[in-house]
Amino acid sequence: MTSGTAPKLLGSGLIILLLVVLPRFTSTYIHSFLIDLMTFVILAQSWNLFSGYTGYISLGHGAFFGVGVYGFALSISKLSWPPLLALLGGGVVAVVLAFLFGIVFLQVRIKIAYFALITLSLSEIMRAFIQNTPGLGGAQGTTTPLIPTPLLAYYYLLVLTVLVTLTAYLVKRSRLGLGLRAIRADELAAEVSGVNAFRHKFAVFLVSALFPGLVGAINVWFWSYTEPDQAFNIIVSFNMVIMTLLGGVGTVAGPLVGALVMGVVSELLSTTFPFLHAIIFGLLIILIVIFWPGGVLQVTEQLRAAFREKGRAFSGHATSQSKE
Amino acid sequence: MTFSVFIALFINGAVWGSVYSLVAMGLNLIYGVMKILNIAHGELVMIGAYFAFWLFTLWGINPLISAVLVVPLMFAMGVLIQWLVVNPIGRENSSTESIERASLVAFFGALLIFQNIALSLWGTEYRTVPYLTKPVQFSHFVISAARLVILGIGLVLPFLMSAFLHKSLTGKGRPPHGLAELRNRFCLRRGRRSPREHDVPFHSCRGPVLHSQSIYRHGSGRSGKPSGSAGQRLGHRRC
Repeated sequence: MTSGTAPKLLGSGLIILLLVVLPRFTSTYIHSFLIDLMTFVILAQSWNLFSGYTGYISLGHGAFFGVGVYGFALSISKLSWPPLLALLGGGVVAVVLAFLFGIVFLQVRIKIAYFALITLSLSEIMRAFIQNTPGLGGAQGTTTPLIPTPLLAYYYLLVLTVLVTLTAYLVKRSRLGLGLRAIRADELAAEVSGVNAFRHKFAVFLVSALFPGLVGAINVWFWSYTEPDQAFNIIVSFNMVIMTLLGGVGTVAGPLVGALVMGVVSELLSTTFPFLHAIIFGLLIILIVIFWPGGVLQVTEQLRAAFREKGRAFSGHATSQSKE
Repeated sequence: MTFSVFIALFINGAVWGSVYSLVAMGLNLIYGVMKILNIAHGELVMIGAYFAFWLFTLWGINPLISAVLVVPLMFAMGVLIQWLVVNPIGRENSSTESIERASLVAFFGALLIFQNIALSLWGTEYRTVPYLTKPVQFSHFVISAARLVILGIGLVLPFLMSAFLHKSLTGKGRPPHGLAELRNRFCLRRGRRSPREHDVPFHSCRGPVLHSQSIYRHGSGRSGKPSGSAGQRLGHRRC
Protein backbone atom coordinates (compact mmCIF):
# COMPACT_ATOMS: atom_id res chain seq x y z
CA MET A 1 0.00 0.00 0.00
CA THR A 2 1.47 3.34 -1.01
CA SER A 3 1.46 6.37 1.24
CA GLY A 4 -1.38 8.16 -0.58
CA THR A 5 -3.79 5.23 -0.37
CA ALA A 6 -4.66 5.23 3.33
CA PRO A 7 -6.20 8.74 3.54
CA LYS A 8 -8.03 8.13 0.26
CA LEU A 9 -9.43 4.86 1.58
CA LEU A 10 -10.45 6.48 4.85
CA GLY A 11 -12.08 9.41 3.07
CA SER A 12 -14.10 7.25 0.70
CA GLY A 13 -15.11 4.99 3.59
CA LEU A 14 -16.43 7.98 5.52
CA ILE A 15 -18.35 9.29 2.49
CA ILE A 16 -19.93 5.88 1.89
CA LEU A 17 -20.87 5.59 5.58
CA LEU A 18 -22.43 9.05 5.44
CA LEU A 19 -24.44 8.11 2.34
CA VAL A 20 -25.61 4.89 4.00
CA VAL A 21 -27.03 6.61 7.07
CA LEU A 22 -28.12 9.86 5.39
CA PRO A 23 -31.61 8.73 4.22
CA ARG A 24 -32.66 8.28 7.85
CA PHE A 25 -32.42 12.01 8.47
CA THR A 26 -33.42 13.67 5.20
CA SER A 27 -36.52 14.34 3.14
CA THR A 28 -37.70 12.49 0.05
CA TYR A 29 -36.63 15.47 -2.04
CA ILE A 30 -33.03 14.92 -0.97
CA HIS A 31 -33.44 11.19 -1.71
CA SER A 32 -34.52 11.77 -5.27
CA PHE A 33 -31.79 14.38 -5.73
CA LEU A 34 -29.18 11.91 -4.49
CA ILE A 35 -30.64 9.21 -6.75
CA ASP A 36 -30.18 11.54 -9.73
CA LEU A 37 -26.70 12.45 -8.57
CA MET A 38 -25.57 8.84 -8.20
CA THR A 39 -27.08 8.03 -11.60
CA PHE A 40 -24.95 10.84 -13.02
CA VAL A 41 -21.83 9.56 -11.26
CA ILE A 42 -22.25 6.01 -12.55
CA LEU A 43 -23.03 7.14 -16.10
CA ALA A 44 -20.08 9.53 -16.21
CA GLN A 45 -17.74 6.99 -14.70
CA SER A 46 -18.70 4.30 -17.18
CA TRP A 47 -18.37 6.70 -20.13
CA ASN A 48 -14.94 7.59 -18.84
CA LEU A 49 -14.04 3.90 -18.55
CA PHE A 50 -14.26 3.47 -22.30
CA SER A 51 -14.05 6.88 -23.97
CA GLY A 52 -11.90 8.59 -21.38
CA TYR A 53 -9.30 5.84 -21.23
CA THR A 54 -9.16 4.91 -24.93
CA GLY A 55 -9.84 8.30 -26.52
CA TYR A 56 -12.64 6.93 -28.71
CA ILE A 57 -15.39 9.45 -28.04
CA SER A 58 -18.78 7.75 -27.85
CA LEU A 59 -21.75 10.05 -28.32
CA GLY A 60 -24.31 7.29 -27.90
CA HIS A 61 -23.50 5.55 -24.63
CA GLY A 62 -27.05 6.42 -23.59
CA ALA A 63 -28.12 3.51 -25.82
CA PHE A 64 -26.93 1.11 -23.11
CA PHE A 65 -28.87 3.05 -20.50
CA GLY A 66 -32.01 2.86 -22.63
CA VAL A 67 -31.54 -0.83 -23.36
CA GLY A 68 -31.18 -1.44 -19.64
CA VAL A 69 -34.39 0.49 -19.05
CA TYR A 70 -36.24 -1.66 -21.55
CA GLY A 71 -34.58 -4.89 -20.43
CA PHE A 72 -35.89 -4.34 -16.93
CA ALA A 73 -39.31 -2.96 -17.89
CA LEU A 74 -40.14 -5.75 -20.32
CA SER A 75 -38.81 -8.64 -18.28
CA ILE A 76 -40.71 -7.51 -15.19
CA SER A 77 -43.99 -6.59 -16.91
CA LYS A 78 -44.19 -9.06 -19.82
CA LEU A 79 -42.24 -12.02 -18.40
CA SER A 80 -43.08 -11.21 -14.74
CA TRP A 81 -39.57 -11.95 -13.50
CA PRO A 82 -38.66 -11.09 -9.90
CA PRO A 83 -37.19 -7.54 -9.64
CA LEU A 84 -33.62 -8.55 -8.81
CA LEU A 85 -33.46 -10.93 -11.77
CA ALA A 86 -34.98 -8.25 -14.00
CA LEU A 87 -32.31 -5.78 -12.86
CA LEU A 88 -29.63 -8.24 -13.88
CA GLY A 89 -31.55 -8.75 -17.13
CA GLY A 90 -31.23 -5.02 -17.85
CA GLY A 91 -27.47 -5.23 -17.38
CA VAL A 92 -27.14 -8.36 -19.48
CA VAL A 93 -29.13 -6.90 -22.39
CA ALA A 94 -26.83 -3.85 -22.38
CA VAL A 95 -23.75 -6.09 -22.42
CA VAL A 96 -25.19 -8.14 -25.27
CA LEU A 97 -25.77 -4.99 -27.31
CA ALA A 98 -22.24 -3.83 -26.52
CA PHE A 99 -20.94 -7.24 -27.56
CA LEU A 100 -22.69 -7.11 -30.93
CA PHE A 101 -21.63 -3.51 -31.51
CA GLY A 102 -18.08 -3.91 -30.29
CA ILE A 103 -17.28 -7.07 -32.17
CA VAL A 104 -17.97 -5.21 -35.42
CA PHE A 105 -16.76 -1.68 -34.77
CA LEU A 106 -13.83 -2.19 -32.40
CA GLN A 107 -12.05 -4.67 -34.67
CA VAL A 108 -10.65 -1.95 -36.87
CA ARG A 109 -8.84 1.27 -36.08
CA ILE A 110 -11.87 3.34 -36.90
CA LYS A 111 -11.49 7.12 -37.12
CA ILE A 112 -12.55 9.12 -34.10
CA ALA A 113 -15.07 11.11 -36.12
CA TYR A 114 -16.73 8.03 -37.52
CA PHE A 115 -16.82 6.26 -34.18
CA ALA A 116 -18.61 9.25 -32.65
CA LEU A 117 -21.16 9.25 -35.48
CA ILE A 118 -21.74 5.50 -35.37
CA THR A 119 -22.37 5.48 -31.63
CA LEU A 120 -24.68 8.47 -31.99
CA SER A 121 -26.68 6.57 -34.57
CA LEU A 122 -26.70 3.43 -32.39
CA SER A 123 -28.75 5.28 -29.80
CA GLU A 124 -31.13 6.67 -32.44
CA ILE A 125 -31.51 3.27 -34.13
CA MET A 126 -32.47 1.62 -30.86
CA ARG A 127 -35.05 4.33 -30.19
CA ALA A 128 -36.60 4.03 -33.65
CA PHE A 129 -36.58 0.24 -33.39
CA ILE A 130 -38.48 0.16 -30.11
CA GLN A 131 -40.83 2.93 -31.21
CA ASN A 132 -41.89 0.86 -34.21
CA THR A 133 -42.13 -2.53 -32.53
CA PRO A 134 -45.56 -2.93 -30.88
CA GLY A 135 -44.39 -6.10 -29.09
CA LEU A 136 -41.86 -4.04 -27.11
CA GLY A 137 -44.38 -1.40 -26.11
CA GLY A 138 -44.09 0.75 -29.23
CA ALA A 139 -44.26 4.53 -29.00
CA GLN A 140 -46.66 4.41 -26.03
CA GLY A 141 -44.06 2.80 -23.78
CA THR A 142 -44.60 0.40 -20.90
CA THR A 143 -45.31 0.58 -17.20
CA THR A 144 -43.53 -1.34 -14.47
CA PRO A 145 -44.82 -2.33 -11.02
CA LEU A 146 -44.25 0.36 -8.40
CA ILE A 147 -41.00 0.15 -6.41
CA PRO A 148 -41.75 -0.79 -2.76
CA THR A 149 -39.78 2.20 -1.48
CA PRO A 150 -37.50 4.75 -3.23
CA LEU A 151 -34.84 3.86 -0.68
CA LEU A 152 -34.40 0.52 -2.45
CA ALA A 153 -33.31 2.35 -5.62
CA TYR A 154 -31.12 4.57 -3.47
CA TYR A 155 -29.22 1.69 -1.92
CA TYR A 156 -28.88 -0.24 -5.17
CA LEU A 157 -27.44 2.87 -6.79
CA LEU A 158 -25.09 3.41 -3.87
CA VAL A 159 -23.72 -0.11 -4.28
CA LEU A 160 -23.31 0.46 -8.02
CA THR A 161 -21.58 3.81 -7.45
CA VAL A 162 -19.04 2.15 -5.17
CA LEU A 163 -18.60 -0.73 -7.63
CA VAL A 164 -18.08 1.46 -10.69
CA THR A 165 -15.61 3.72 -8.89
CA LEU A 166 -13.70 0.71 -7.66
CA THR A 167 -13.70 -0.75 -11.17
CA ALA A 168 -12.41 2.50 -12.64
CA TYR A 169 -9.69 2.61 -9.99
CA LEU A 170 -8.63 -0.99 -10.55
CA VAL A 171 -8.72 -0.70 -14.34
CA LYS A 172 -6.63 2.44 -14.23
CA ARG A 173 -3.98 0.82 -12.03
CA SER A 174 -3.90 -2.50 -13.85
CA ARG A 175 -2.02 -3.72 -16.89
CA LEU A 176 -5.29 -3.27 -18.81
CA GLY A 177 -5.33 0.43 -17.93
CA LEU A 178 -1.74 0.79 -19.06
CA GLY A 179 -2.64 -0.81 -22.39
CA LEU A 180 -5.63 1.50 -22.76
CA ARG A 181 -3.49 4.56 -22.13
CA ALA A 182 -1.06 3.31 -24.77
CA ILE A 183 -3.97 2.95 -27.21
CA ARG A 184 -5.12 6.47 -26.43
CA ALA A 185 -1.67 7.89 -27.05
CA ASP A 186 -1.08 6.01 -30.31
CA GLU A 187 -2.98 2.87 -31.21
CA LEU A 188 -0.63 1.73 -33.94
CA ALA A 189 2.42 2.14 -31.72
CA ALA A 190 0.60 0.29 -28.93
CA GLU A 191 -0.18 -2.63 -31.23
CA VAL A 192 3.38 -2.77 -32.46
CA SER A 193 4.62 -2.97 -28.88
CA GLY A 194 2.42 -5.97 -28.22
CA VAL A 195 -0.83 -4.55 -26.87
CA ASN A 196 -3.80 -6.44 -28.27
CA ALA A 197 -5.81 -3.31 -28.99
CA PHE A 198 -9.06 -5.08 -29.88
CA ARG A 199 -9.11 -7.22 -26.76
CA HIS A 200 -8.34 -4.23 -24.51
CA LYS A 201 -10.97 -1.99 -26.07
CA PHE A 202 -13.55 -4.77 -26.21
CA ALA A 203 -13.17 -5.77 -22.56
CA VAL A 204 -13.48 -2.25 -21.26
CA PHE A 205 -16.35 -1.50 -23.68
CA LEU A 206 -18.39 -4.38 -22.26
CA VAL A 207 -17.77 -3.18 -18.71
CA SER A 208 -18.66 0.38 -19.67
CA ALA A 209 -21.98 -0.87 -21.10
CA LEU A 210 -22.87 -3.04 -18.09
CA PHE A 211 -23.14 -0.19 -15.59
CA PRO A 212 -25.39 2.11 -17.66
CA GLY A 213 -27.62 -0.91 -18.29
CA LEU A 214 -27.96 -1.60 -14.57
CA VAL A 215 -28.51 2.08 -13.79
CA GLY A 216 -31.20 2.27 -16.47
CA ALA A 217 -32.93 -0.73 -14.92
CA ILE A 218 -32.89 0.79 -11.43
CA ASN A 219 -34.07 4.15 -12.74
CA VAL A 220 -37.06 2.75 -14.58
CA TRP A 221 -38.05 0.85 -11.46
CA PHE A 222 -38.02 4.20 -9.69
CA TRP A 223 -39.94 5.98 -12.53
CA SER A 224 -42.40 3.03 -12.90
CA TYR A 225 -43.07 4.12 -16.49
CA THR A 226 -41.02 4.52 -19.64
CA GLU A 227 -41.28 5.39 -23.30
CA PRO A 228 -38.66 5.32 -26.08
CA ASP A 229 -38.12 9.10 -26.10
CA GLN A 230 -37.37 9.06 -22.40
CA ALA A 231 -35.23 5.92 -22.31
CA PHE A 232 -33.14 6.80 -25.36
CA ASN A 233 -33.01 10.53 -24.74
CA ILE A 234 -29.90 11.88 -26.44
CA ILE A 235 -29.41 14.16 -23.43
CA VAL A 236 -28.33 11.11 -21.40
CA SER A 237 -25.50 10.40 -23.83
CA PHE A 238 -24.52 14.06 -23.98
CA ASN A 239 -24.56 14.46 -20.21
CA MET A 240 -22.09 11.61 -19.83
CA VAL A 241 -19.64 13.46 -22.09
CA ILE A 242 -20.19 16.83 -20.45
CA MET A 243 -19.74 15.56 -16.90
CA THR A 244 -16.56 13.66 -17.63
CA LEU A 245 -15.00 16.55 -19.53
CA LEU A 246 -15.95 18.91 -16.74
CA GLY A 247 -14.30 16.80 -14.08
CA GLY A 248 -11.30 15.49 -15.97
CA VAL A 249 -11.00 12.87 -18.69
CA GLY A 250 -9.14 9.65 -17.99
CA THR A 251 -9.05 10.02 -14.21
CA VAL A 252 -11.01 8.20 -11.50
CA ALA A 253 -12.05 11.27 -9.50
CA GLY A 254 -12.87 13.39 -12.58
CA PRO A 255 -16.29 11.89 -13.42
CA LEU A 256 -17.23 12.03 -9.72
CA VAL A 257 -16.42 15.73 -9.53
CA GLY A 258 -18.02 16.45 -12.91
CA ALA A 259 -21.23 14.64 -11.98
CA LEU A 260 -21.41 16.55 -8.71
CA VAL A 261 -20.98 19.89 -10.46
CA MET A 262 -23.47 18.98 -13.15
CA GLY A 263 -26.02 17.62 -10.68
CA VAL A 264 -25.93 20.65 -8.43
CA VAL A 265 -25.86 23.25 -11.22
CA SER A 266 -28.67 21.69 -13.22
CA GLU A 267 -30.75 21.21 -10.05
CA LEU A 268 -30.35 24.91 -9.25
CA LEU A 269 -30.84 26.31 -12.77
CA SER A 270 -32.94 23.87 -14.78
CA THR A 271 -36.27 24.82 -13.23
CA THR A 272 -35.84 28.59 -13.32
CA PHE A 273 -33.76 28.98 -16.51
CA PRO A 274 -34.34 25.83 -18.59
CA PHE A 275 -31.83 26.61 -21.35
CA LEU A 276 -29.28 28.66 -19.45
CA HIS A 277 -27.52 25.74 -17.79
CA ALA A 278 -26.97 24.02 -21.14
CA ILE A 279 -25.47 27.23 -22.54
CA ILE A 280 -23.19 27.52 -19.50
CA PHE A 281 -22.06 23.91 -19.93
CA GLY A 282 -21.38 24.54 -23.62
CA LEU A 283 -19.17 27.51 -22.77
CA LEU A 284 -17.41 25.55 -20.04
CA ILE A 285 -16.67 22.71 -22.45
CA ILE A 286 -15.07 25.02 -25.00
CA LEU A 287 -13.01 26.73 -22.31
CA ILE A 288 -11.94 23.38 -20.88
CA VAL A 289 -10.86 21.99 -24.26
CA ILE A 290 -8.80 25.07 -25.02
CA PHE A 291 -7.31 25.97 -21.66
CA TRP A 292 -7.64 23.08 -19.22
CA PRO A 293 -7.90 19.73 -21.03
CA GLY A 294 -7.72 18.09 -17.59
CA GLY A 295 -10.99 19.59 -16.38
CA VAL A 296 -11.78 20.77 -12.86
CA LEU A 297 -9.16 18.43 -11.40
CA GLN A 298 -6.43 20.13 -13.41
CA VAL A 299 -7.60 23.55 -12.29
CA THR A 300 -7.55 22.58 -8.61
CA GLU A 301 -4.16 20.93 -9.11
CA GLN A 302 -2.79 24.11 -10.66
CA LEU A 303 -4.27 26.25 -7.89
CA ARG A 304 -2.80 23.98 -5.24
CA ALA A 305 0.60 24.09 -6.92
CA ALA A 306 0.39 27.89 -7.13
CA PHE A 307 -0.46 28.15 -3.43
CA ARG A 308 2.35 25.80 -2.50
CA GLU A 309 4.75 27.90 -4.56
CA LYS A 310 3.52 31.05 -2.89
CA GLY A 311 3.81 29.52 0.57
CA ARG A 312 7.34 28.34 -0.12
CA ALA A 313 8.36 31.76 -1.40
CA PHE A 314 6.83 33.33 1.67
CA SER A 315 8.50 31.01 4.17
CA GLY A 316 11.80 31.28 2.28
CA HIS A 317 11.58 35.02 2.60
CA ALA A 318 10.88 34.74 6.32
CA THR A 319 13.86 32.45 7.00
CA SER A 320 16.24 34.65 5.06
CA GLN A 321 15.05 37.60 7.12
CA SER A 322 15.54 35.76 10.38
CA LYS A 323 19.11 34.89 9.35
CA GLU A 324 19.86 38.53 9.05
CA MET B 1 -47.49 3.63 -57.31
CA THR B 2 -48.35 5.47 -60.43
CA PHE B 3 -45.75 7.06 -62.61
CA SER B 4 -46.74 10.63 -61.70
CA VAL B 5 -46.43 9.89 -57.97
CA PHE B 6 -43.03 8.39 -58.58
CA ILE B 7 -41.90 11.49 -60.48
CA ALA B 8 -43.22 13.82 -57.79
CA LEU B 9 -41.45 11.85 -55.06
CA PHE B 10 -38.30 11.78 -57.12
CA ILE B 11 -38.31 15.55 -57.60
CA ASN B 12 -39.02 16.17 -53.91
CA GLY B 13 -36.21 13.81 -52.97
CA ALA B 14 -33.90 15.66 -55.33
CA VAL B 15 -34.85 18.98 -53.73
CA TRP B 16 -33.98 17.72 -50.27
CA GLY B 17 -30.88 16.06 -51.61
CA SER B 18 -29.68 19.30 -53.16
CA VAL B 19 -30.14 21.11 -49.84
CA TYR B 20 -28.27 18.38 -47.97
CA SER B 21 -25.51 18.43 -50.55
CA LEU B 22 -24.93 22.12 -49.86
CA VAL B 23 -24.71 21.40 -46.13
CA ALA B 24 -22.39 18.48 -46.76
CA MET B 25 -20.13 20.57 -49.01
CA GLY B 26 -19.49 22.96 -46.15
CA LEU B 27 -18.81 20.13 -43.74
CA ASN B 28 -16.49 18.51 -46.23
CA LEU B 29 -14.44 21.68 -46.51
CA ILE B 30 -13.94 22.07 -42.81
CA TYR B 31 -13.42 18.38 -42.07
CA GLY B 32 -11.81 17.28 -45.31
CA VAL B 33 -9.33 20.11 -45.59
CA MET B 34 -8.79 21.24 -42.03
CA LYS B 35 -9.65 18.06 -40.07
CA ILE B 36 -11.80 20.23 -37.81
CA LEU B 37 -14.74 18.11 -36.75
CA ASN B 38 -17.53 20.66 -36.66
CA ILE B 39 -20.49 18.78 -35.20
CA ALA B 40 -22.25 22.11 -34.72
CA HIS B 41 -22.51 22.46 -38.51
CA GLY B 42 -26.21 21.70 -38.47
CA GLU B 43 -26.71 24.46 -35.91
CA LEU B 44 -25.13 26.94 -38.34
CA VAL B 45 -27.65 25.78 -40.94
CA MET B 46 -30.40 26.40 -38.42
CA ILE B 47 -29.12 29.89 -37.63
CA GLY B 48 -28.87 30.73 -41.35
CA ALA B 49 -32.47 29.58 -41.70
CA TYR B 50 -33.58 31.82 -38.83
CA PHE B 51 -31.81 34.83 -40.32
CA ALA B 52 -33.75 34.35 -43.53
CA PHE B 53 -36.99 33.71 -41.64
CA TRP B 54 -36.74 36.91 -39.60
CA LEU B 55 -35.66 39.02 -42.57
CA PHE B 56 -38.75 37.77 -44.37
CA THR B 57 -41.18 38.03 -41.45
CA LEU B 58 -40.09 41.39 -40.05
CA TRP B 59 -39.20 43.33 -43.17
CA GLY B 60 -40.69 41.20 -45.91
CA ILE B 61 -37.34 40.74 -47.60
CA ASN B 62 -37.51 38.34 -50.52
CA PRO B 63 -35.76 35.05 -49.59
CA LEU B 64 -33.81 35.17 -52.83
CA ILE B 65 -32.33 38.52 -51.77
CA SER B 66 -31.79 37.43 -48.18
CA ALA B 67 -29.83 34.46 -49.53
CA VAL B 68 -27.29 37.03 -50.66
CA LEU B 69 -27.51 38.87 -47.33
CA VAL B 70 -27.21 35.77 -45.17
CA VAL B 71 -24.04 34.50 -46.84
CA PRO B 72 -21.76 37.31 -45.59
CA LEU B 73 -23.45 37.13 -42.17
CA MET B 74 -22.69 33.44 -41.87
CA PHE B 75 -19.21 34.06 -43.26
CA ALA B 76 -18.61 36.56 -40.46
CA MET B 77 -19.87 33.97 -38.00
CA GLY B 78 -17.46 31.43 -39.45
CA VAL B 79 -14.57 33.87 -38.99
CA LEU B 80 -15.65 34.51 -35.40
CA ILE B 81 -15.77 30.79 -34.65
CA GLN B 82 -12.38 30.46 -36.29
CA TRP B 83 -10.86 33.05 -33.97
CA LEU B 84 -12.58 31.95 -30.79
CA VAL B 85 -12.48 28.17 -31.11
CA VAL B 86 -10.46 26.79 -34.00
CA ASN B 87 -7.31 28.90 -33.74
CA PRO B 88 -6.74 28.15 -30.03
CA ILE B 89 -7.25 24.43 -30.73
CA GLY B 90 -4.73 24.53 -33.57
CA ARG B 91 -2.29 26.27 -31.25
CA GLU B 92 -2.63 23.70 -28.46
CA ASN B 93 -2.60 20.48 -30.49
CA SER B 94 -0.06 19.14 -32.92
CA SER B 95 -1.24 15.80 -34.32
CA THR B 96 -4.21 15.33 -36.65
CA GLU B 97 -5.79 12.96 -34.17
CA SER B 98 -5.64 15.31 -31.22
CA ILE B 99 -7.00 18.16 -33.37
CA GLU B 100 -9.91 15.92 -34.35
CA ARG B 101 -10.59 14.91 -30.77
CA ALA B 102 -10.32 18.43 -29.36
CA SER B 103 -12.45 19.97 -32.11
CA LEU B 104 -15.12 17.29 -31.76
CA VAL B 105 -15.46 18.10 -28.09
CA ALA B 106 -15.22 21.88 -28.48
CA PHE B 107 -17.84 21.97 -31.22
CA PHE B 108 -20.01 19.74 -29.08
CA GLY B 109 -19.93 22.65 -26.63
CA ALA B 110 -20.71 25.07 -29.46
CA LEU B 111 -23.65 22.86 -30.45
CA LEU B 112 -25.08 23.09 -26.94
CA ILE B 113 -24.67 26.87 -26.96
CA PHE B 114 -26.25 27.50 -30.38
CA GLN B 115 -29.09 25.06 -29.86
CA ASN B 116 -30.09 26.35 -26.46
CA ILE B 117 -29.78 30.01 -27.40
CA ALA B 118 -32.08 29.35 -30.34
CA LEU B 119 -34.47 27.38 -28.12
CA SER B 120 -34.66 30.10 -25.49
CA LEU B 121 -35.07 32.88 -28.08
CA TRP B 122 -37.41 31.27 -30.56
CA GLY B 123 -38.98 28.20 -28.96
CA THR B 124 -39.60 24.85 -30.57
CA GLU B 125 -42.42 25.46 -33.05
CA TYR B 126 -41.97 25.09 -36.80
CA ARG B 127 -41.62 28.28 -38.82
CA THR B 128 -42.34 28.64 -42.49
CA VAL B 129 -41.48 31.20 -45.12
CA PRO B 130 -44.57 31.38 -47.34
CA TYR B 131 -42.86 32.46 -50.52
CA LEU B 132 -43.36 31.21 -54.08
CA THR B 133 -45.82 28.59 -52.86
CA LYS B 134 -47.74 28.81 -56.13
CA PRO B 135 -47.85 25.32 -57.66
CA VAL B 136 -46.37 24.83 -61.08
CA GLN B 137 -48.19 22.31 -63.24
CA PHE B 138 -46.16 20.01 -65.44
CA SER B 139 -47.67 17.36 -67.65
CA HIS B 140 -47.70 14.65 -64.98
CA PHE B 141 -47.14 16.31 -61.65
CA VAL B 142 -47.38 19.50 -59.59
CA ILE B 143 -44.49 21.13 -57.70
CA SER B 144 -44.27 24.42 -55.85
CA ALA B 145 -42.20 27.12 -57.52
CA ALA B 146 -40.01 27.55 -54.43
CA ARG B 147 -38.84 23.94 -54.71
CA LEU B 148 -37.91 24.41 -58.32
CA VAL B 149 -35.79 27.42 -57.39
CA ILE B 150 -34.14 25.44 -54.59
CA LEU B 151 -33.36 22.61 -56.96
CA GLY B 152 -31.87 25.02 -59.47
CA ILE B 153 -29.62 26.69 -56.90
CA GLY B 154 -28.68 23.33 -55.41
CA LEU B 155 -27.58 22.13 -58.82
CA VAL B 156 -25.56 25.24 -59.69
CA LEU B 157 -23.69 25.89 -56.42
CA PRO B 158 -21.65 22.64 -56.39
CA PHE B 159 -20.22 23.56 -59.79
CA LEU B 160 -19.30 27.03 -58.54
CA MET B 161 -17.64 25.44 -55.51
CA SER B 162 -15.75 23.01 -57.66
CA ALA B 163 -14.59 25.86 -59.90
CA PHE B 164 -13.50 27.78 -56.81
CA LEU B 165 -11.47 24.85 -55.49
CA HIS B 166 -9.80 24.03 -58.78
CA LYS B 167 -9.36 27.39 -60.46
CA SER B 168 -8.92 30.06 -57.80
CA LEU B 169 -5.60 30.68 -56.04
CA THR B 170 -7.02 29.99 -52.58
CA GLY B 171 -8.57 26.76 -53.73
CA LYS B 172 -5.44 25.61 -55.50
CA GLY B 173 -3.35 26.37 -52.42
CA ARG B 174 -5.28 23.68 -50.59
CA PRO B 175 -2.90 20.83 -49.85
CA PRO B 176 -3.96 17.53 -51.45
CA HIS B 177 -4.09 15.53 -48.22
CA GLY B 178 -5.62 18.18 -46.04
CA LEU B 179 -4.00 20.96 -44.13
CA ALA B 180 -3.58 18.96 -40.95
CA GLU B 181 -1.61 16.33 -42.82
CA LEU B 182 0.59 19.05 -44.29
CA ARG B 183 1.27 20.35 -40.83
CA ASN B 184 2.08 16.87 -39.65
CA ARG B 185 4.57 16.35 -42.42
CA PHE B 186 6.38 19.59 -41.85
CA CYS B 187 5.89 19.52 -38.09
CA LEU B 188 4.43 22.98 -38.24
CA ARG B 189 2.84 24.48 -35.22
CA ARG B 190 1.57 27.95 -35.59
CA GLY B 191 2.35 30.40 -32.81
CA ARG B 192 5.05 28.15 -31.39
CA ARG B 193 8.12 29.96 -30.28
CA SER B 194 10.56 27.12 -29.64
CA PRO B 195 10.66 24.30 -32.15
CA ARG B 196 10.75 20.72 -30.95
CA GLU B 197 13.93 18.81 -31.63
CA HIS B 198 12.56 17.01 -34.68
CA ASP B 199 10.91 20.14 -36.03
CA VAL B 200 12.01 21.98 -39.04
CA PRO B 201 13.79 25.07 -37.69
CA PHE B 202 11.18 27.68 -37.09
CA HIS B 203 12.50 30.37 -39.42
CA SER B 204 12.45 27.94 -42.32
CA CYS B 205 8.79 27.27 -41.61
CA ARG B 206 7.88 30.87 -41.98
CA GLY B 207 6.52 30.66 -45.52
CA PRO B 208 4.26 27.65 -44.94
CA VAL B 209 3.17 29.04 -41.57
CA LEU B 210 1.77 32.19 -43.08
CA HIS B 211 0.33 30.14 -45.89
CA SER B 212 -1.45 27.79 -43.51
CA GLN B 213 -2.91 30.66 -41.54
CA SER B 214 -4.49 32.17 -44.59
CA ILE B 215 -5.94 28.82 -45.61
CA TYR B 216 -7.36 28.31 -42.16
CA ARG B 217 -9.20 31.57 -42.33
CA HIS B 218 -10.55 30.93 -45.80
CA GLY B 219 -11.47 27.36 -44.94
CA SER B 220 -13.68 28.27 -42.07
CA GLY B 221 -15.32 31.14 -43.90
CA ARG B 222 -16.03 28.95 -46.85
CA SER B 223 -17.65 26.28 -44.76
CA GLY B 224 -19.89 28.90 -43.20
CA LYS B 225 -20.95 30.14 -46.60
CA PRO B 226 -22.70 27.11 -48.07
CA SER B 227 -24.34 26.25 -44.78
CA GLY B 228 -25.68 29.76 -44.54
CA SER B 229 -27.24 29.65 -47.95
CA ALA B 230 -28.49 26.10 -47.50
CA GLY B 231 -30.11 26.96 -44.21
CA GLN B 232 -31.57 30.03 -45.77
CA ARG B 233 -33.17 27.83 -48.35
CA LEU B 234 -34.57 25.34 -45.86
CA GLY B 235 -36.85 28.11 -44.71
CA HIS B 236 -37.71 26.51 -41.40
CA ARG B 237 -35.93 25.30 -38.37
CA ARG B 238 -34.56 21.78 -38.32
CA CYS B 239 -33.29 20.28 -35.12
